[in-house]
Amino acid sequence: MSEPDLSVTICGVRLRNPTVLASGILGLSEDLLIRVGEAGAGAVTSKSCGLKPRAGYPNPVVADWGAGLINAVGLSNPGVDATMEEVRTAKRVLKPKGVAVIASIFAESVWDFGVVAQKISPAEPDLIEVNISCPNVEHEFGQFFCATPYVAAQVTRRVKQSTDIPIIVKLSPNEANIAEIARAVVDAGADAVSAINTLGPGMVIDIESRAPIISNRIGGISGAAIHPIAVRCVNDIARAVPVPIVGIGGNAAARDAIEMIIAGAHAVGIGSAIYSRGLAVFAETTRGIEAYMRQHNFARLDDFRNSVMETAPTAGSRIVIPQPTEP
Amino acid sequence: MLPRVVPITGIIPENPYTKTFILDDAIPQATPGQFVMLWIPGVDEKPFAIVAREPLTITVAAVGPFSRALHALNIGEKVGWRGPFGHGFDLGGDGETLLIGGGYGVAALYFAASELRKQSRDVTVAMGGRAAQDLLFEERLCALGARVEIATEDGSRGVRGLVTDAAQEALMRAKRILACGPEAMLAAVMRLALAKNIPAQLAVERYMKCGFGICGQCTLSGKLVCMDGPVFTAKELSQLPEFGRVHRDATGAAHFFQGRGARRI
Ligand SMILES: Cc1cc2nc3c(=O)[nH]c(=O)nc-3n(C[C@H](O)[C@H](O)[C@H](O)COP(=O)(O)OP(=O)(O)OC[C@H]3O[C@@H](n4cnc5c(N)ncnc54)[C@H](O)[C@@H]3O)c2cc1C
Ligand SMILES: Cc1cc2nc3c(=O)[nH]c(=O)nc-3n(C[C@H](O)[C@H](O)[C@H](O)COP(=O)(O)O)c2cc1C
Repeated sequence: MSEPDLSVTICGVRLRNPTVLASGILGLSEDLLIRVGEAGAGAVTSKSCGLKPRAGYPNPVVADWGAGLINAVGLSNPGVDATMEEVRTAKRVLKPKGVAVIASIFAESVWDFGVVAQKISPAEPDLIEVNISCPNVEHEFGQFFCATPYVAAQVTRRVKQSTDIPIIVKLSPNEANIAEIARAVVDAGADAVSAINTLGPGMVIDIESRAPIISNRIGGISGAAIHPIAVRCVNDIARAVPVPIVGIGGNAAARDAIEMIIAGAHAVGIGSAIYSRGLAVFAETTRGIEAYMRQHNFARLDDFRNSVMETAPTAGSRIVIPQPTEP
Repeated sequence: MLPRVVPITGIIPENPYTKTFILDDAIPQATPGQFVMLWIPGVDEKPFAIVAREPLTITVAAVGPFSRALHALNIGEKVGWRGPFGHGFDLGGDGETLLIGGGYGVAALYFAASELRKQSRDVTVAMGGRAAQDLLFEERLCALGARVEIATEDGSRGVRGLVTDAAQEALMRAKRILACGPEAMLAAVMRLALAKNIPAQLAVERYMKCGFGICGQCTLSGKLVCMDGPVFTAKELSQLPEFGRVHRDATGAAHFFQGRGARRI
């Protein structure tokens, strides 16, 4: 059998392998994006940037609570003008190495999403990820934009009108029906979707001082704990829309990534696992997927993508609740 | 790792704006040069070098809102900590070790000095400050049996000049250099060490958020100060264009270091 082909093409952009650095993890400078690309990622995503610089919340902004991370960074970022330079440099260095660069954006209003998209475009990121799903700034930004299919579609339409670069809309697991939101953004022109952003929000309390550990009181949950939810979300989306999906949430090893691909993902985002596995997680995941493909005689990722076995419950498997009998 | 919240058991004033805090806890696995994230619930959480393992001790200069809030605490009040984070100094090798410190950097070097003196190794500490009142840990370092050389900019103690002036004599003997202090001082030490071909390790600071390699805030030309550092060799630092030139604020925006000692572009 010939070498398995691990490359994947998303909206015309070729990734040498399906691993993607998730937004907000390390992507603060061009040097770090380049480092992650050189460590083996197929694509890297910059930290979400908005119109103006934001310092974010006071510390602690991230904590490891044992089965995952909780974070409320507060969308700190140096603003789109600074991020544009970062993306431009990262693209220049990573392009020849075959690593795609994704620029993540957020905004405070539907209108501003368009302004930020327009401003980041001259840096020529391969893709723009539209973060409508940050759970930590509800009332102010994120939650509002993906809370209803209508608003999510409005943002999508506005961004599509503002740039020629293909867009990925990043969805939240915190809405009742992620498939419905996916359908709305795809109908509005989204070229791809990514899922999931962090789950929750959740809360971790220090029992000595009784203070919430995260300064914002609540924060989004990520890491191993959310992987099964992310897999379900990806599969819900794959059943609803035909566009490529970047499956994110708790991916820490090849097995997690393979599950995501079987559920319907074209690419797999990796964030929190960098904390436990280091940057080697990208190369290790890719190698593990390759080994799996050899074992199963898959030549391309398409050969097992979106291939969940249908297991409709049959009458025989229904649980029968025993009726109490008279004494 | 969640913060452990423990009472303060001792507070030692070191100079008019610096205090040492002893916590009711131990951090036996810590090595000199590593740091903890210190949390005042409801206020903030900031990085501080470890000064001693048992009990866990840190030394803090009051420079802004967090450090002033810490200085306002009393014995018995509680703070949280998590760590140790980062890579510390490699203390191995023969011959004399020269520690070069400025400001509260001397406190982190005290941990290294105490480890070296436990093994009866030769230690010289060169410390500098604007004036005599800025110096710290002099008696405790002498008590360990370390040689102490002092420079002050106004000449009120030791030689008049910079800490590198105080280090001149020891540089002739030193087999390695460990340094901790303001970046302009570190840049000068780096140049000196490279010129004299003495292996040197320098502890660098950058604005930190998570402290454990997730957020990327403390990037130094792509190195994470919290994980790859805070201790780097002079050779490594000479390859990092941002060292001595660029640091980042809480938004992640890059700024040039200003003033004397900044590396030229
Ligand atoms: C690895 C490391 C070890 C350190 N060890 C010590 C020590 O032993 N003793 C000591 O007094 N100080 C130490 N510092 C510096 C200390 O963290 C800052 O002085 C403190 O965060 C200031 O906070 P503030 O609110 O009092 O002042 P601010 O007014 O907020 O800031 C004053 C200065 O501290 C810097 N600073 C502020 N927040 C942070 C942050 N989150 N991370 C890094 N720097 C910050 C700012 O850039 C500024 O230069 C260390 C820093 C690092 C990175
Ligand atoms: C510290 C931290 C910061 C994050 N910042 C962003 C961000 O700026 N934009 C964004 O779209 N997602 C952000 N996320 C969410 C991640 O991109 C990802 O969707 C989520 O963490 C789930 O993946 P994981 O389990 O692999 O971390 C952040 C996550 C973490 C842990």
